[in-house]
Amino acid sequence: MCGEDYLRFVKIAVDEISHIHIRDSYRCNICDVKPCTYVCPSGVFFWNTEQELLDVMWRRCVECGACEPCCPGNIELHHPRGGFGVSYHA
Amino acid sequence: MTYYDAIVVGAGPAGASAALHMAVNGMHVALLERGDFPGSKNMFGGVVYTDPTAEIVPEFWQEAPLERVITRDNLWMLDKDSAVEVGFTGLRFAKSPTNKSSALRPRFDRWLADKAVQAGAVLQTQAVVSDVLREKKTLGRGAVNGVVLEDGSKIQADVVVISEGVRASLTKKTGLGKKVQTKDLSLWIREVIYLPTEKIEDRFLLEKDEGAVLAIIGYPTAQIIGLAGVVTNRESIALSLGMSLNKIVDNHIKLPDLLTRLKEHPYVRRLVQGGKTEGYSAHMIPMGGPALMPKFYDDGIMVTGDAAIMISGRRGSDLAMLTGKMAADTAVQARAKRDFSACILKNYEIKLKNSFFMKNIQGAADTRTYFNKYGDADYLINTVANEMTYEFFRVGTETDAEKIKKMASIVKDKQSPAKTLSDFLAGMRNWGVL
Repeated sequence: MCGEDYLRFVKIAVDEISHIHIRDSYRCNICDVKPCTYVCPSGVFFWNTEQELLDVMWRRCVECGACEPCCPGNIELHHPRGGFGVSYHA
Repeated sequence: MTYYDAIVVGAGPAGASAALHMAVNGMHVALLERGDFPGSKNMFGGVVYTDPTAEIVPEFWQEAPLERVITRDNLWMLDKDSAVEVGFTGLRFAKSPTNKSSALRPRFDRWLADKAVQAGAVLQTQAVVSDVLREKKTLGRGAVNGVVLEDGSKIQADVVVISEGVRASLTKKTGLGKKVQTKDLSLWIREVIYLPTEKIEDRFLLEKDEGAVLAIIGYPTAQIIGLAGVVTNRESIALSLGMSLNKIVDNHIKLPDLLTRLKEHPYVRRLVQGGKTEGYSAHMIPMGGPALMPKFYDDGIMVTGDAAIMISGRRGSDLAMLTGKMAADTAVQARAKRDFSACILKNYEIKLKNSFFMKNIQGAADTRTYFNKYGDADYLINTVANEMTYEFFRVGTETDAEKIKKMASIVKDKQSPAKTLSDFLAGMRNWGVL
C-alpha cells in the first residue's frame, strides 16, 4: 500500500486553509530531487508535470513534520489550526 | 488577559507530568494542547516503563489504561526467507512490580493529563501556541512571561514550560533550539492491526494480559539501516517501521512501500494475517545526542521532553515524563523564591545533568557516524548471521571440521571477521538492544 491508501484509516478534520506553505514555487521547479514527493508518508506532495508546480494536498497531512527538514528550505510548515488535522481515537 | 503561575505548552507525557507536579504543589497551571484532547495527535511510544512512570504517578498501574504487561522481548535479524531470533521471556515481569506495559497513547496521555486536571491544572484543548510573550526591556530580549495563541489571544504566566514535542518550533523560535538537519531525525510510520485476543496470545506465546515486543532488523530495511517493530496490545498489534530521515531522502525511500513489503515477508506474514488494519500514523523521533540539545532554560522558560531531545536508545516517553517533573520541581522552587529568572531555572539543568539518563546519553557511543561511514554494515551482519545459521542447522554429510570451515568462510568471504564484529556491536548499540 502507498501512503494515500492508508488515509482511510486516519481521521482528519479538514481545514479549508492550508497549513503548508511553499515559499517560492519556482524553487520547486529547479529542485531536481523533490524529496517531499516521496518522503511524505501520506502522499501530500505531487509534482504536477503539466503545470510544472507542486500540488500540496494538505488535507492528507498526518502531521509528522518530515517535509520541512527534508526540503531544501522551501516548505514552511505550521500546525493546523486548533480543532483541525489528525485526531487519533483509541 | 488570563494570568497563571505557569503555562505548559503541549499535553503529552512531558507536559502533563509538568502540569501535574506544579498543580500538586499548589501552582495555578494552564495546560495547553493543540489537539482535540491530550494524546489525540499521537499514536507513538506505545510502551510505558513501570519504574520511571511510578515516579510521576505512584502505583499508576492500579488505574492507568494499560494494554498488556510485557514479558517477552525479541529481536529478529530478518533475511529474505529466514530469521535469526534472539529473545528473552521473563515471566517474573508479569507479576507486580512489572517492568513495562504496552499502552495506547491516545488513552494513556488523556489519562495522565486528567491526573493534572484533577490536581487543579486548567486544560485548554485546540489551543495552538504561536509565540511566547516577553517582558518589555529597553536592551535585549525580556524574560518570557506568557504565550500568544494563534487567534492572537494572550495568556500570561510567571513561567512557561515548553513540552511541544519533536518539531520544537516554539523552542527554535525563542532562540533556545538548534536548527536540525535530516540526519538528526528519524521518521516512523505505524500501522495498527486488529486481531482477536486469542490470536495475539497464540502467535506471540502469551497468556492473558501478557504482552510481547519484537524488534526486526535486516529485511526489508538492511540497505538503509532501518528498524521495524511489533508491540502487542490487548486486541491489536502495532507494526512500525522507520529510519533516519537522511537515509530516506538519499535513498528515495517510501516508508509505506517498505511496510507493505515487511507484512508480505513469508515469516512476518503469519503474525499479521487475518488482521484488520484500523489505524495509521507517522511520527518523527530525534536521533538524540548532547550536540543537538537546546539550551534547556532561560528567563521564565524551560524546555522538556522531545523538544529538548531527551532520547536515550529506545527510551523517550519516560524521559519526557521525568524531565517534565524536573522542570515542575524547579518551577515550584522558583515560585517559593518569587524569582523565575535564569539564575533559578538553571537548577532544572543541574537536575538534568545529575540524572541517570543524561549520563547514559553522554556516555552513548555515536553510532550515527559509524553508520554514515559504513552504510553496508546492517546488510552485512544480517546476511552473515542468516547464512551462517542456515549452515549451522543444515544436516549434511560432511565432517564437523568441514562444517566449521564452511561457516568460517561465510564470515570471511563477506569482509574481515573483526569488521563483522564491530558492525554487529554498532548495530546492537544503534537500536538500543545492547
